[in-house]
Amino acid sequence: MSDINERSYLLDNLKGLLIVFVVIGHFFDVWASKYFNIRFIYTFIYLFHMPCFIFISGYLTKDPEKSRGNAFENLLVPYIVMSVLWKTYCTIFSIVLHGYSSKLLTFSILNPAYGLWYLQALFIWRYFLKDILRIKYTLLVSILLSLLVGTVNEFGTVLSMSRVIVYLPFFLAGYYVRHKNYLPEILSISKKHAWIIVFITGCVAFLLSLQSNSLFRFLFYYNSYHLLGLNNVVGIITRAMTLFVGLMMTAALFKILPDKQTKLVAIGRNSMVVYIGHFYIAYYFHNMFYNLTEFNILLLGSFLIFITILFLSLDSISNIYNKFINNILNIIFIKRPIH
Amino acid sequence: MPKIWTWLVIMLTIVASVFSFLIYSGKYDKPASVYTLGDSVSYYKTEDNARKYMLAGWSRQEKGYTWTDGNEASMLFDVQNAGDKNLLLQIRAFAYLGGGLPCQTIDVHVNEIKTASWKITDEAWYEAEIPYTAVGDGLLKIKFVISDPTSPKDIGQSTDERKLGIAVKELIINVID
Repeated sequence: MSDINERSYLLDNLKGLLIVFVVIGHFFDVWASKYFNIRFIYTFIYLFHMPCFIFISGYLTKDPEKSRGNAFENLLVPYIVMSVLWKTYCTIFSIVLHGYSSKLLTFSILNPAYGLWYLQALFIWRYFLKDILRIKYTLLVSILLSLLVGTVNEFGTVLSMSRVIVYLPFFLAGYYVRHKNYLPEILSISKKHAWIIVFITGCVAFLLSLQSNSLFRFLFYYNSYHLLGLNNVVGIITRAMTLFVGLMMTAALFKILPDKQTKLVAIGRNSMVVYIGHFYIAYYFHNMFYNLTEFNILLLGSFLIFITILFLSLDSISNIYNKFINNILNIIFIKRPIH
Repeated sequence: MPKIWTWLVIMLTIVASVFSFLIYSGKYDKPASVYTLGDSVSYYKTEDNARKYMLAGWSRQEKGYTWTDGNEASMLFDVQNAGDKNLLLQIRAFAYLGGGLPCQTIDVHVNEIKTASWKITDEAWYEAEIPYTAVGDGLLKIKFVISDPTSPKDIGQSTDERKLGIAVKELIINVID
């Protein structure tokens, strides 16, 4: 494979695999501090799945001007709509389950709920990419900022600012790989090396999950080092290492996944709906089965994850979502620009 | 080009080794301890379960309480399943009012956000609401900023050199709903 075209099987396979990891992570997250095996799976996934996803988002950003033009419609509006829907769902769920809820009272559009931060962050990256690219040594600067932002307590979840800054190097790296045509260099890694990287990443995940029941929180990238109980030097070293692991795993996955039709392609092509839809089932799972044993959580969780992904990756579900969002866009905008 | 990958894999191995070293040397030894909402944290010597949450600014446990020592005292909690919930922090405490202090003013900060200010005198329950925006993903760093920490030695009361502020007996964090 010399180049990746618009509808590449490799990219769809990557997106498919990564969205499966996103779903697994969210289904099991509330038990990560409680059970070792879940914590290990969770830590392993969180070491690379978002860095890789964001790298691909950067790679798929072809034209910064066009990206800015589309950002409101494709990202910000869906983010706002999905945030409102999510809060409404949680409120109704809470009332049905407990007879009360304060969920709507605590609604904040600036502070993304659950995993919806990615839409907000992607909006910011794509909207400001044109300006970011004008900064000299922008990739180097972004790496430095990514490491330093953890030294400041003020950068947290509001506007996803901490994550926007921490993950920016991956977004820019993806963008530059496409525009400077570096992909062949990435794909020059041998399969043997790629699998060694996966193995070492597994070892790192094992070490981190063995050490404590909450060190995996470091991989959320929105707490300052201080808040995580680390001094700044250890925090910066740790972040540099976890981001390096994420980068290496990104390269490894590009090599390991095939550039041909697989089951993951359909999931990858409908990854937006899988991403937006799975929160609702995961939330139900957390609330209804919180007190199960670890084995039962893994068993039932795996089954529900399978069903959820199978259902949400159907083309018909994506069509419904697209129609829904388009209707909302038609209501909001006087006349939709033609792209 | 493949040679670069060999070097990068070697670097990754070094990274894994550095992780092992940091873990072995205890650099990650102070992560937040898990706290279940509603549990009572006791600062008594006899049934102390507060030590694991304490960071800086606390004295040794005494028979029925633990004094803060200095201008600030902080604790770190890993509150499970706290997402999107407003919480209520309650502590049972009394103040050291040596030297004619009318009260100790305690500013309560949660994850660096000021959430309450208490005027503490006699033993009572004091409460602070913690908005969900301060809760974040459930990692709670609670810091008490004490207005007038006073050493009993400085006012000629005893030889105790500790800068006493408040004596905490019990702490509970709960959901407000």
